[in-house]
Amino acid sequence: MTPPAVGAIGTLVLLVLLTSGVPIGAALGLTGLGGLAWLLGVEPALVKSGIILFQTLSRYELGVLPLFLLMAHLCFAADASRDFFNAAARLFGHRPGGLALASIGACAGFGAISGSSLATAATVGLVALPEMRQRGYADTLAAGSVAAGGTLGQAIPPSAALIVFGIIAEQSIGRLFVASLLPALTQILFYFAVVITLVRVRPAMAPPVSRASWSERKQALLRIADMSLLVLLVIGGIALGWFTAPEAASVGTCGALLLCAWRRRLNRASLGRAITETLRTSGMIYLVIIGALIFSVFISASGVSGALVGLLSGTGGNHALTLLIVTAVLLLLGSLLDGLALMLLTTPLLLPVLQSMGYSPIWFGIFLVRAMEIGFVHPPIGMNLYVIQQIAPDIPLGRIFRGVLPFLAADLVHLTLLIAVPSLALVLPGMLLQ
Amino acid sequence: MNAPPEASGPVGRWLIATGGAALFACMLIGTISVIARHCGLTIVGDIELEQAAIVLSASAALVCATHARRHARVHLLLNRLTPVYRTRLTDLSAVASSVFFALLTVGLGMITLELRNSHEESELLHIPYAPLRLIALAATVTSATLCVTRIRSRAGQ
Repeated sequence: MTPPAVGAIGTLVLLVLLTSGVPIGAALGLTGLGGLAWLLGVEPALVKSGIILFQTLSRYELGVLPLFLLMAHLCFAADASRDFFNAAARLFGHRPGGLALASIGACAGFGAISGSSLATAATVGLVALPEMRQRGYADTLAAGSVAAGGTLGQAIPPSAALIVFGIIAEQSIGRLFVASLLPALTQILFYFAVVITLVRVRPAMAPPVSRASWSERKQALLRIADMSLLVLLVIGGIALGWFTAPEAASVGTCGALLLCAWRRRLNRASLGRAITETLRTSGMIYLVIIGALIFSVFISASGVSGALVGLLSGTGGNHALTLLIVTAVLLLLGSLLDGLALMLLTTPLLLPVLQSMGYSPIWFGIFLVRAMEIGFVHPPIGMNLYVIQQIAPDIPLGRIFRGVLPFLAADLVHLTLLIAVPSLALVLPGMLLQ
Repeated sequence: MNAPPEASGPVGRWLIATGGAALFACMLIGTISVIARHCGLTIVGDIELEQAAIVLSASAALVCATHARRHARVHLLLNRLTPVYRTRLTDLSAVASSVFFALLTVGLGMITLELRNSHEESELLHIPYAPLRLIALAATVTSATLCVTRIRSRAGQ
């Protein structure tokens, strides 16, 4: 059997293991180890896996992940999501669809701390959904704006998905963070446009809410001033080259700890909860990365990526057609696998293909994360939809999905924009990180 | 971010305390070195210190995630199965996880044995790598054991 055939069979075996519910990290690692043992022999495969294990656990750059997670959990303990929503609601609440806009704004604010779509949808949803429904907002608009807004958690730095991609693809995490800023900003604008259009077409979806007084607005803004400063320090510090991404994670966590203490939210229970959750989530991601790196070595040794490049060159060098195929594959797999599995399965296969076509790996990282986010809001996986249903069990899943549909359409247009204008992701790193 | 269940037993609490202390060490070293650099000072070997703390926190994290059954998996098929088949697949995935952890242990064990007399250490602070490898090894052994214990306890029910 030829090595590319072994690679192709390995990929199929991986899909079977993943859908059978084997932990993603173990499925990737076992497939990679098995494939390497077939191609190179058992001993080299075991030694390579041991090397990858220790390199991953001792990797300085990967230290950003648990620290950013700890920062998010500390900010969560300090009630960040409620404060972000309250501030946005006081500012925009009186405008048509204002509370839906505020939910998206709060998701962007909390996303700049949490780095996770599910955490953002869950925490902002807990505050925003009851408020919108109490004010007579249509369930579809309320649920749709929070479910879609939640995906901003992954789009805005410090995104956990971008950190994982940076490690797998060996790209600078700081550069990826800076590259994600403009796509995230345009994504927010697209979501705002969806809400404004929906409310203009059907004003009954969002009854007007009374305008908050200036003193109420000032109070709400003051409440998020400390948190906003922390976010600006972390993201701005990386963008301006004051510190590297791992250093930003340390500074951010230290800031979050002080902020928690300043707000009198720091106690043994909250600290214990934050550390426990951080360790559990980062342990889960560590296993996934170890498995993905072993799988990636196997894919590279099998030469299946090279075969894929040859296959796609059958499109006659038509970049648009190749990208269309890649996008279709990503969206199709995204409806079967969860985001992390999608990224880890496709990065070793598709990155060499796109690099051979001259695409930047930084752009691919942003594109891939964007495609992953779409998987978060459409069935059958659509984790954010289930999160919303857990918060509001009386809203049927079908209605939540109907609410997300206009945002999903905006996502597809945004993804097309990202493909058509790659500089959307590449201009800022080029300008700021020379 | 639902509130997690409390860390169960003294081992769980010890793990959280160790991992947490390592995380705080990383945070402090990183922050102090940034402040020092902006004040024109250099902290020698800050990255090496942080790396050692990262091994400790990452190893504790790996065991914590296994202990709390928090490893990510695809639920597409699992959620649609009858309880009997779901249990069988869950057992199968626990077997797969324990095999993977065991293979990782063997791989890292082989390297640790191979390098036992090489006195590998970091460049600036001369932190020896052997104890760090043993910590990682302990994490994979514990994780494999946890998976096996889970299968055995289910078989005993």
